[in-house]
Amino acid sequence: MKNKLNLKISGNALVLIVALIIVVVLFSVVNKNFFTYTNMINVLVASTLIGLTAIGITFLMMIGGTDLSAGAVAAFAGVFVAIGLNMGYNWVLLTLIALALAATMGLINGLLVTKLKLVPFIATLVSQSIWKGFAYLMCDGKPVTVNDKGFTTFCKMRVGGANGIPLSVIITIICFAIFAYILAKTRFGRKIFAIGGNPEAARLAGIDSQKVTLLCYIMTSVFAAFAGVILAGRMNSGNPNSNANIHFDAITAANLGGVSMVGGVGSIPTVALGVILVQAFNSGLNMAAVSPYWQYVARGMLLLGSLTIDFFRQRNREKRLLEDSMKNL
Amino acid sequence: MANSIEFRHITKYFPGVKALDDISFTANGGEVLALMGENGAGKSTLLKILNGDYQPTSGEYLVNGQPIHFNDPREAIAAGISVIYQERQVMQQLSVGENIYLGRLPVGSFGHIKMDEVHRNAQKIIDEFGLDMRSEQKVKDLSVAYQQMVEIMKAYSRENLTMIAFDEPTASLSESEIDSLFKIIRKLKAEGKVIIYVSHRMAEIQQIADRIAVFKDGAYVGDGLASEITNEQLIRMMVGRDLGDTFSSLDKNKTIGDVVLEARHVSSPFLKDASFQVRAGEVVGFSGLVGAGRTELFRAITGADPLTGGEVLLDGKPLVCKSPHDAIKNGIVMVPEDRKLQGIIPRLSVGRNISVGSLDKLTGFLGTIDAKREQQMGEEGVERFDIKTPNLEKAIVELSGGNQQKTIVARWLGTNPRVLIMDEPTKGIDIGAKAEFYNLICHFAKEGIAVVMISSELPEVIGLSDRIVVMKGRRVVGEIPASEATEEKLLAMAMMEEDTKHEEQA
Repeated sequence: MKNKLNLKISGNALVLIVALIIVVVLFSVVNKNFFTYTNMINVLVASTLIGLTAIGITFLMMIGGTDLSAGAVAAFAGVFVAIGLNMGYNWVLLTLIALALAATMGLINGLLVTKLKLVPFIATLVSQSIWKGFAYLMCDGKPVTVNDKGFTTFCKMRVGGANGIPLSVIITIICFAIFAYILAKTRFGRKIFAIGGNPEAARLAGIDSQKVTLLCYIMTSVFAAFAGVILAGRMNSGNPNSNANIHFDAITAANLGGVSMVGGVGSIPTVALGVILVQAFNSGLNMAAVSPYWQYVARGMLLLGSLTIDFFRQRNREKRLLEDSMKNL
Repeated sequence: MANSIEFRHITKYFPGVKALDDISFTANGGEVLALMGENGAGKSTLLKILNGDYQPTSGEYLVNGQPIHFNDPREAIAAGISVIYQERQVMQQLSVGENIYLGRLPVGSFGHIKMDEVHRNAQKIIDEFGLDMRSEQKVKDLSVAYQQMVEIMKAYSRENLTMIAFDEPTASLSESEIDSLFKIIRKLKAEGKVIIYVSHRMAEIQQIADRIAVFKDGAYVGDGLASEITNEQLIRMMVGRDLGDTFSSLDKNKTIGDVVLEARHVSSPFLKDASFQVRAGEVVGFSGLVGAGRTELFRAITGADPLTGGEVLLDGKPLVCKSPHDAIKNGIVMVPEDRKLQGIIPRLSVGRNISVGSLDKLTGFLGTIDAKREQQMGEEGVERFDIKTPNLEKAIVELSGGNQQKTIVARWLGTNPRVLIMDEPTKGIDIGAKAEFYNLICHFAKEGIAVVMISSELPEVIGLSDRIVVMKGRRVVGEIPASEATEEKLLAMAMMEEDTKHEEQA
C-alpha cells in the first residue's frame, strides 16, 4: 500500500510533468528562444510571484477557503515599500512593516470569514477592492520608481555568478520546502487536512478550526505581500497594476497541483509543479506574441480545464467507492 | 386506471452501507399504507427513492404499472409523486396561492403572472379542503398545521397526483389539527390516491392506516391489515432481532465506582431541564425516539451546543465546556451519531483518523507529529478494536460502516477518556460488528470508564445498560434499572403518552 500511495502521488506529478513538457515543446516550436537557459531562468524568476502566493492559497484551499485579495495585497506591499524607499527608509524595515500590514489584512479576511460568516469568495472580494483602492491612493495610480540600490540589488541577486540561480528563486524553493514539511509532518498541517476533510468532525475532535482558518488567511496575505515586495525590487518600481492576477494564477497552480476546490486534499510539492506549469504557459503565451486579451481567455480556459479534471477525478473516486462497498457488504 | 406504486427488489447502497436490502412491496390507490420501523430501519431512504432524491442501486420502481426512473425530485413531482416532509418546504414570503402553483404559475401574454387566476383556482382547492384560509394570505402568517395543508394542496393541485407520502406528519400538530389532517387524508384516499404514511405513533396508525408494513435494518419484514395486527405484534416485528445469546454471554462482571459525571437541570436551546448521573464502570443507556433530545443533552454537556441553564459536574466539581476541545481535555469524549457528517474525515487514512483526537499528545519539537508514536497508536487501535483494513494508510471512507465506526471509537479511546458517550454506536452496521461492539462496551465499563450509550435499538439498550434513562419531548421522562426493563415498557414510555406532548407543542 505504501508503494501504491507513492505511485498515486507520482501519478499526479507525472501528469504535470508531461503537461509541462508538452507546453515547453509547443512554445519552443513557436519561438526558438523559449527553451534556452536564460529564458528558463526567467520563467523560474517570474514563477516566484505565483509560487509564494500559491503556498498560502494551497493551505487556504485545503480548508475550503480562497483569497481573491492576494493580488491587491501584493500590489499594496510593492507600492508601500517603493514609497518608503523614496522617503529614505531602510528596505529591510519597510519590508517587515509591509509584511506586518499584510498580516493585519489577512487577519481581517479571516475575521470576515469566521466571525461575520461571510463566504470566503465574497469576503475577499470585498477586501480586494479596499486594498486595491489604498494601493492606488498611496501612489495616485502611478508606478513609483525605486532607486534604492541595496534593495534592487538584493532582489536581483544571483547565487553563483552573473548566470547563477537568482536568490529569489532559492528563497521560494526554501519556502516551498518548509511549508511542504509543515503540511505533511506537523500538527498544524494535520489540522488543515482534518478541517478540509470534514469541518464538523474536526471541531468535534477538538480542533480549533477558527484559529487555523485565521492563520491560513494571515499566511496567504503575508506570502502575497512578500511576492509583491520582491517584484517591486526586480522591476525597480512599485506598480499597483502589476500584481492584479496573481491570486488567479496561484489558484490555477494549486488546483493543477491536485488541491481540490472541495478541500481536504493536496500536497505542496505537486503545487510547485503546478506553479511552474502556469508560469511556463503564461511566459510562452507572451513569447508567442499572443495578445494580452487572448491571454485572459487562455488563462480562464486553463483553470476551467483544471477544474473539469478535478470534477471527474472526484466523481470516479465516488463511483469506485460505491462499487467497493457493493462487493464487500 | 387505478393508481399504484410498486418496488421490486429495490436495493440502495451508500459507500460503506447497505441502506435498503431487496425491498419489494406494492401500495395501491384507495388505501393508506403505514410504514413503521425503528430509527435507521430505512424508511427515510425509501421516501427519498420514492421522490427521486436518491436513485436505487438496483431493482425496479413502478408507478401505475410502468417502470420509471426519476433523476431528481422535480421529475417525481411532475409525475404526480409528492412527499410531505416533517420540515415545511413552503416559501414563507409568498402567498398561499403562489405556493400551491409555484413552478407552473399561469403567465399572460406580457409575461406577467395571472394572479387572479392563481388565487381563483387556489381558493377552489382551499374550499374543497374545507379550510379557513384565503389564497392571498402569506404563508408565514399561517399556523404550522396550515402550512402543511398548503403543501398537501400543492401536491393535490396537480391533476396527475398519484401518490402522496407523509413523513411523521403529526409531529408538530395538536389533536384537532391531526383530526383535520386525517379528514384530508381520507378524502385523498376516497379519490383513489396512493397514500403512504410514515409514523412512530401507534395510536395514530391504528386510526388512519389500512395496512401496515414493517421495516427493520433496511429490509422489509412484512405487512398486515391494520384491523388485524396488534400493537404487540407490531413491536415484535419492529424490534425482534436474532442476536442469539449475544447479550447473555457478555461479561458484565465489574465493579461500579463513584459518580463521575453528573448533570443537574441542564438545558440548552434544544433541551429542557435534564438531570442524571453516571458512575465509573457503569453503562447508562439513553432510550427514546429520534428528536427526544438525547443527542442534544450530550452536545450541551460536551460544549458542542451552548449550555443555557443548569450545571455539569465532573467528579463532583463544576465543569464548563465551551467547546468539544474543553470536554476532551477533561476526559469527556463523544462518539457522534452521524458517522459520515460528524465522525470520519473521509480522505484521511485510518491511522490519521485515529490520531486526530490526540494530536496534542503526539506533537513534539517544532509542532512536528511524532510519526513513530502515531503509527504505534494506529496499530494499537487496529489491533484492539479489530478494525478490518489492509493497512493504516487506507482512506477511512473505503472501509465498511462497522469498521469506520470502530476507527472512530479507537480515536476516542486513544485519548484515555473517563467518560465515553456513544451516540447510536451500532447504527447502520452489520450484526456481526454489532456483537463486537457490545463486547467492547462491556470491556470499557470493566476498565472503569463511565459509559453513556444513546441507542434507539431497544434490545441493545436493555442488554448492555446497567440503568436506562428514557427521554421524550426534549425531557428526561423516566429512569429504570435494566433488570426491570422490557422493550414494551421502554417503547411505552417513549411513545405512548401522546397527550402530554401535544399540550407542550401547542
